[in-house]
Amino acid sequence: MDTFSKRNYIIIGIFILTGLVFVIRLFSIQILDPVYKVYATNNVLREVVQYPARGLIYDRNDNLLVYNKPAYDLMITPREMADFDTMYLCNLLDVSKDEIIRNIELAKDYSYYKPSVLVKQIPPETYAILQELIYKYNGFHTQSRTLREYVYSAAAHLLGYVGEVSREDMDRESYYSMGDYIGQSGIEKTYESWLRGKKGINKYLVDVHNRIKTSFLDGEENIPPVTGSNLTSTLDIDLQLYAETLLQNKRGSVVAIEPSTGEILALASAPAYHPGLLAGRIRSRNYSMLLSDTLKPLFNRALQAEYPPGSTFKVLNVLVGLQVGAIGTDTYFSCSGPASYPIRCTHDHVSPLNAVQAIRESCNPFMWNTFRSILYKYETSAEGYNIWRDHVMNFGIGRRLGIDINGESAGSLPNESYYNNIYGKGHWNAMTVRSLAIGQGELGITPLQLANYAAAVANRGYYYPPHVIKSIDMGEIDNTFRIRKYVGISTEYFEPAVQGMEDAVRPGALSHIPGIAVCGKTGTAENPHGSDHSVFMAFAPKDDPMIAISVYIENGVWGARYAAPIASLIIEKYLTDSISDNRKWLESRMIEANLLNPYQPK
Amino acid sequence: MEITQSKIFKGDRVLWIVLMLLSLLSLLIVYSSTGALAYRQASGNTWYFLIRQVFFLGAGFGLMLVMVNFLSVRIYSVLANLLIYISIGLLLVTTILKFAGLLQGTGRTLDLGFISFQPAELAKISLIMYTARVLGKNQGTRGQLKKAFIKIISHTVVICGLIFLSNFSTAALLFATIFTMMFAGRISLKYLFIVILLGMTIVAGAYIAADRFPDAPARIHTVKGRIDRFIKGDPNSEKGITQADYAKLAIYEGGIFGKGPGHSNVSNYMASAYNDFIFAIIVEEYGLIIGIMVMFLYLIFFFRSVVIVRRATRTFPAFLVTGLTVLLVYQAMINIGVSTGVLPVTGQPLPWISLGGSSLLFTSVAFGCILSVSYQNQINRETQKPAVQVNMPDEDYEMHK
Repeated sequence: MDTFSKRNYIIIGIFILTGLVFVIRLFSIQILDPVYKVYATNNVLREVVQYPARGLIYDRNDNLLVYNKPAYDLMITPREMADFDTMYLCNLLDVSKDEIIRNIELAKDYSYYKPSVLVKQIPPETYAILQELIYKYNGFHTQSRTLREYVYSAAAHLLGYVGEVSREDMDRESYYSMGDYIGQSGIEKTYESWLRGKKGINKYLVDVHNRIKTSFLDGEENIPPVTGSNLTSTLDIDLQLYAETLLQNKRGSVVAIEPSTGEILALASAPAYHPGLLAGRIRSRNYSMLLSDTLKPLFNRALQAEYPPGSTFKVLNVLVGLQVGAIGTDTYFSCSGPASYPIRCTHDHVSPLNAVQAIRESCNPFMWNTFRSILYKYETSAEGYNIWRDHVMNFGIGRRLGIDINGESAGSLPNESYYNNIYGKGHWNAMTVRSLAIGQGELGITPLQLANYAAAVANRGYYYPPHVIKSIDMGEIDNTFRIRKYVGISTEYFEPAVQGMEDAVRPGALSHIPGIAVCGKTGTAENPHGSDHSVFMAFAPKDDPMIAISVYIENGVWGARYAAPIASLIIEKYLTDSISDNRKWLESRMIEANLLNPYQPK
Repeated sequence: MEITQSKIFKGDRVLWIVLMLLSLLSLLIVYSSTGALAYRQASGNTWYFLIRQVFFLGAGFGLMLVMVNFLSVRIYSVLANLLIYISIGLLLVTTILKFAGLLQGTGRTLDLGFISFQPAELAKISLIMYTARVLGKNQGTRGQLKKAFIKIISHTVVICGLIFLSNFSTAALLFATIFTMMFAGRISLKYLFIVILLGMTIVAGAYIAADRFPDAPARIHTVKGRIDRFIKGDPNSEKGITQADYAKLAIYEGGIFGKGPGHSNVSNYMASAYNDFIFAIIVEEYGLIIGIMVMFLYLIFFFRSVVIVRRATRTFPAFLVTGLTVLLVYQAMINIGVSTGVLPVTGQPLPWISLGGSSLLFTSVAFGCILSVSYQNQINRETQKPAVQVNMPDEDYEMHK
């Protein structure tokens, strides 16, 4: 085994030699080679994120609605931090000492040598003072961000707000990292991917103490941020402001749509709040304040509240009746007034009467007879009900319209099985569900759906899905907003319905505007928790409609008392840009009305 | 050197102690060097990789204990023939999947659903077992040795060739190990020189091919790039921001006594601080002296293996231990060499210290084999004691003469 042993010594020798080489190498790196001393002070590439400015939002007439103002985050690198004047900093930045101490601990937990945010969103005025003093505070530096700023105190629900990303956001989209801002609601949320732009990166070389030494490769590899796209909203800010003024001290909503495009002209929900309340450092404080407000200002009534449509629904019932042939334009039903069965009528009018007159007078027995005729026209009540329901649904009732802001509710339009469950299959008929004939019962409809329904009537048979964004810089809005949706009612049947609506707004009514042919229908929605709600839907002018509108005023008692006059003021404002002198008294009466008490005199 | 026999930790006690010391160091250094990784992959849960490492080290120890207590060395000789063809099969499957575009990443890992591992890890151990078996059976005549050489080199070329397609450094490491085994196994120097020439031709060929054929497999370009950077210097090194520079900086900053446990800064901006460059972080935190001692731990392991080889009474166990030891020590030397900048940058973990998953289990199989052989030796020595005392000088004594 001689050779074997010798060869083994060679292998052993090689390993010992390798070991020696390594030891020598280690010594040389540590002691002999000066080049790593240079590295020691000049060694790390730091990527500093450049935040882009968020896109601006304009109204349909190019008035700026939302822009950005600079804000600054105070950053801290715990490793470099020395003792500092905590109280002075607290007073300057208006934060508590506990908060500062807690955030410093959090920063230390995260990392000693990487910067963490100590105080967020410092306004420029404070920043100016801070910048003068920051040299005294070792380990502190600032980073610039932008905050949303609002030109008008209006349309808070529609514009939405911006907030920090959540863990789910980050998991869903890798673009976001901790501390980034993201649209949380409204336009800010839906159009986030357009508004946010694209973050950039600046590369710097920093030394071991994390001090920036120089730009890496003279900024060759820097990626500049891309500013977010500007949006043009469909909103008419003057109209929106006017609507919000009329809604002050009331609960309710106004939705105005341009029928020829489906563009939302105004979308107001009252009580409202200043959109600036939910921007910046004050956001969390204000958010909990708004959340605990008993008037529920955060609740976007225009999209989320479901009310019975009341008598506004009668136009739809007549249209369905005409379409399925249950009634004709020459069909007359008689009305026995308060003695009518099964639904009373208190409207005191001519009898018998036809469709045009029935809409004008809002006659309950006519609606009952129409509804019954629709359901009894088919083999079973259920089949008739389903056909009636399909027609109603075509108007966008009982389903989401797909508006481009979040939180839209579908409303309620029960299906056949709902009644089967309650009464048993085959054990219910038009009589059982008679409340639907006059827009009460299980029906729930949002103000947006009501306005859209008014728009469909204004267009005599179709609507465009309502939307709040008109155009995007360097982009296109969703094509579904440009496609007509037909409601499946022949154009000719709209003539009696529209005529009835025009007649309903007769001279002498508060909603009548001299010189403008307003077509409208009042409604009163039963409310078990206080006075009934006041409802009005309308469009104008009768031929070539420019605006379709729905107004809900909670506890407004009668449709004609508040909702109708408010709608007429908004229509007049939009069409003539001012309120005529002889209607000024109406305007001030509406503005001054306070309906916050849910019980109002009849 | 008389070593008493433990009831559970059977086999060479020094080797067990070395492994425990390495484990301790592994936990300390893995915990401190995975901080940045924990924020990237485990949402800031810095305990995640420590717990994982504790689990795999524990599993590794368990595996070794099972091997020394319940498995006989003879089994590996029988298994060798089977395992080598399984390895070739798995490597083929992985390669085909890779070129069919069904595997993500570097195409080194095979995911079987319940477990994912690198077939190359299995191939390393099975090729060494196979080589040990062939060498052990053919020590008689020159003719037998020639037959052994042909068998070994043909299998090695197939396996290393397949590994080469996805991982150059592992292929080279395995090749060097088999070469060393053949050198120790008295294969004629003439053949070995031919092998060296062929090997150099292949590497040179790959280097040139990378230029000529831009469509060649990506690994060839990686190899060329690394060799270029090693010889000519990395364009980024001027700024001191390559991984190799960070490693040198870590060693520089560590000094003689180190910054102390958990105080490494460099590990936070290095991508592979917890595996390929872990030695640099050891020096940064614990200093030059501990760094050299870690190196000596591997050399101690090596010398204990030499003792085990010499005490072995049969040829297969002796060659098996030689092969496995050489593999692990080479691997350690490559890791240290890369960290210190002696070798071009390549990804070999520091055995038993680097953050590992299934690869750690394969390493423990290797240690388990070595310990099994040493336990076998101890039993044999006990039964043959009188004869040994009379006829042979003490090997350890001879070695240190």
